Amino acid sequence: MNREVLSPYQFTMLTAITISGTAIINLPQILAILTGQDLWIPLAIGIALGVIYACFVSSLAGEAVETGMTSYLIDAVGRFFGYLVLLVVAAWLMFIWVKSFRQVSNMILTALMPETPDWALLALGTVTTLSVAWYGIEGVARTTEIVFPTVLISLIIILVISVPDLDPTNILPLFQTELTNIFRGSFAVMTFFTESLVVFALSGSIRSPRTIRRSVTAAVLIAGLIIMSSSVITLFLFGAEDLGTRSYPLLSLVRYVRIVDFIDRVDPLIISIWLAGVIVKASVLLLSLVVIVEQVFGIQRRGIVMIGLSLIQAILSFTLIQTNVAIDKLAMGVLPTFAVPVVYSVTVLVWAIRRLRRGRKT
Amino acid sequence: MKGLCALKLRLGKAAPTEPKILHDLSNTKGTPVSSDLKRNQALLSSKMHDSSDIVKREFILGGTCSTKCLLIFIGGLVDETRVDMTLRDLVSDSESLGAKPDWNTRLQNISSISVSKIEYIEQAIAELLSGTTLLFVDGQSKAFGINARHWEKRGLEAPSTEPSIAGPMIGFIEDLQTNTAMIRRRIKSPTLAFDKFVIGRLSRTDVVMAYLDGYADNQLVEEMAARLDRIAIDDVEGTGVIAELIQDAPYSIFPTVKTTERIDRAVSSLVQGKIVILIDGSPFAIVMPARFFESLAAAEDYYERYWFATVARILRYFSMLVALGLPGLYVATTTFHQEMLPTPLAVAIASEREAAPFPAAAELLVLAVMFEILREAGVRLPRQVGAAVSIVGALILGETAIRANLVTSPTVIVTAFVAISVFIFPQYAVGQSLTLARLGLLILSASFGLVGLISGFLALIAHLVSLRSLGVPYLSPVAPAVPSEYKDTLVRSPWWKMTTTPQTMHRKHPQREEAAKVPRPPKDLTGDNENE
Repeated sequence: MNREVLSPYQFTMLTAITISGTAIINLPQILAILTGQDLWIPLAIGIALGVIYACFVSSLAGEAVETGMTSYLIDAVGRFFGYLVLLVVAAWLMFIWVKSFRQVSNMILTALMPETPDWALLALGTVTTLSVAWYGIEGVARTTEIVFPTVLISLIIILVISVPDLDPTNILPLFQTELTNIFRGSFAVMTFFTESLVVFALSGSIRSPRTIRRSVTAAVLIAGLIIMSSSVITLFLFGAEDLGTRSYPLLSLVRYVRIVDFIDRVDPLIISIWLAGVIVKASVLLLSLVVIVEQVFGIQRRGIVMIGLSLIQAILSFTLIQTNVAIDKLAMGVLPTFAVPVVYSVTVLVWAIRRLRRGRKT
Repeated sequence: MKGLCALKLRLGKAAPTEPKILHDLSNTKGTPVSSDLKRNQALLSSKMHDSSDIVKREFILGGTCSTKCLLIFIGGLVDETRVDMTLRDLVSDSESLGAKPDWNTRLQNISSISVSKIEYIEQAIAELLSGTTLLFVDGQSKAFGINARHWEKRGLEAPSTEPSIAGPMIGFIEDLQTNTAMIRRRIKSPTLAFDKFVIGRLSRTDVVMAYLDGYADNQLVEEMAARLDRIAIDDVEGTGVIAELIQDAPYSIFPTVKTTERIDRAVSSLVQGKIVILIDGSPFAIVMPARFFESLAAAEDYYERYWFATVARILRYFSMLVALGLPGLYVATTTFHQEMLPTPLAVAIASEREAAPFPAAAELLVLAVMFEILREAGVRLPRQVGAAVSIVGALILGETAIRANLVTSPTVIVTAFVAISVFIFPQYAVGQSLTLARLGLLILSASFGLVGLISGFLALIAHLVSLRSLGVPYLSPVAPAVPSEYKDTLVRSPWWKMTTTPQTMHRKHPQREEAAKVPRPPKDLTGDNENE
């Protein structure tokens, strides 16, 4: 089999776009509701925890380069727990994929194209994701090399243009939030950093195992910087109270700024460019799931697995959009809050058990 | 007694089956040339059709040997004057041949033309068909191939599909030997290699793989040779046939091979470590590996000043985006995202569209199809009639369609701008590919606005990055990123900055020029000395 390999540069960008792809959409609003003007505190904690988590993940990925994720887990924690962990990882990745599509679809439907049927938008997203992922992880990584800088440049332009209108006093008064809300906010931030799990799933595609930790840490820091800057700038611009009422703060920011005098609004173009980032993220998630399914079931026909997983995702996303508010709240709010500690703990546990077992063997 | 036994043995053999006309000359080892001239004649007659253009001349050489000979060649493929001279020399000098003459040495001595020995009838036929003159001598179990090939060919002309203002006004022609000679004139290096292949069961077309031995990556050379060896077709109609059979992505709309009519571009590619394929009968050379961004670099870029070349290149990138996305962007903004347009423009477009019976996307599609029909007609029709087609297309169809409110003026402007942008590409095939991709993007934009357009772009990028040309990533040096190659991709750096050849080509000796050789006037001519 021709093994696809990624350079450290490609791997960094791939991980960074996976983490930050959807985080910038509504994380500032969630944090503003929970922590008000102190949103930078859970952000800082979340990013710090994200860096630590990335160290665990990159350590596991580095060891699983030769064997692959499934064999590594079975070897580390036994067959039963190995498959259990795989199930947790696969379910989490699928959930993130569905959640991302649901968030982006909602944003486009409410803010850009209200007359478009939701199923058509989901179908477009699913087909585009499939067409990007079809060419394998190398193809996705190369696509990221074009998409990520474009997304980043557009974001930087928007953020820089908004600087004259920023009011740094919106951050005051400091440290007014309850500790519980700070922790809840940190979990919300951590949700996105647990997405670095894709590194573990795609460990077989890494050219140089030695550079994994450096690549993943750099990716987490880049993503952290993007999330932090976009959240803090929207806070400076709108203030905590106003920010909490805006479903898509960054969209509001894009609508607020004027790039050139003769063009009234650029938000459809900018949001569409950012959508490309979300599609790339979805492609990475799809390929990670494909790798897991291939390794667990020994299926060699990648195309069929991809189409099957895409169909499951499309059905789940469509169902989630159609469901009532209570289920939506459960899926989008409560579930991630509980799932993040589980995913974090499982990763750390696997890492620790592997270390203990290796120590006993030596 | 011995002779009788031999006769019996010959009679005892099963009667040979009637030889059939050869259909496949790929195996040139079969029936050995007989020492009996009549048998050779019979074999030749049976294995190839007795065509009217085959000239056969029998003669007897006098002197002590008094030998029967047969000369065969194809009229129009040989220089008959040279053959006559050779023959005359042979006949006039036949008295001195002796009883057992060494024919090969003799022929070499009397003629300046190269002579080769031929051992098999099939080989003789293959040589004859490619223009060699055959000489059969009674009593000789070998034929002699006299290379007096000559046929009509056009003179060297400026390349018609890749014109240049400042570059050399010379392009390839249909004659393979002339083409290889022109390359040899430009690269006087012993590393220049021309490996010959014969492709086509019926056409037996000569195909030459040119590369710089020791510069081109061995793996690339071997891979290309293997691909050429794999080709099994009847006829090589032209460059397109070979290009289609050796490319990496046969189903893609984008060409992963580059064709050029310019000798300087072929030479430049060879120097970069690439491989050039020349085909007998075609004035186009195939260059591989071919990368997407190279197709946006024109020959002109390297003859103009680098500032102007860089601006021209940026214009081409802009044109590429226009050719791909302008119709989609127009449809998306006028149909879904009017808020993006400046208010006066939005009002102007809306007033134009008020009386239009069709949606903008349908208008653009119809106009695009009309333009393609006009373009095809313009290519096929004689030059005089072509002008009439342009008038009909531009004035009658366009003008009347606007007046009849069938299409709106902005749509015509968009279509015209896109049409002009397509022709800015130095590689015509890339323009065709972009035309097809544009239609897909237009349909997506008409359905989903900018979201559809960006999704289409993303799928297109994913497809392009997955392509390879002879194993080299098609979208390099952008994806995968190779920053050291940007100096001749996004911009055209000055020559003294381009000190190495593209890293992606894996050229064995990447150093092209010594570093830090920035041209500057000598010190004694600068103002510094005067001040001192």
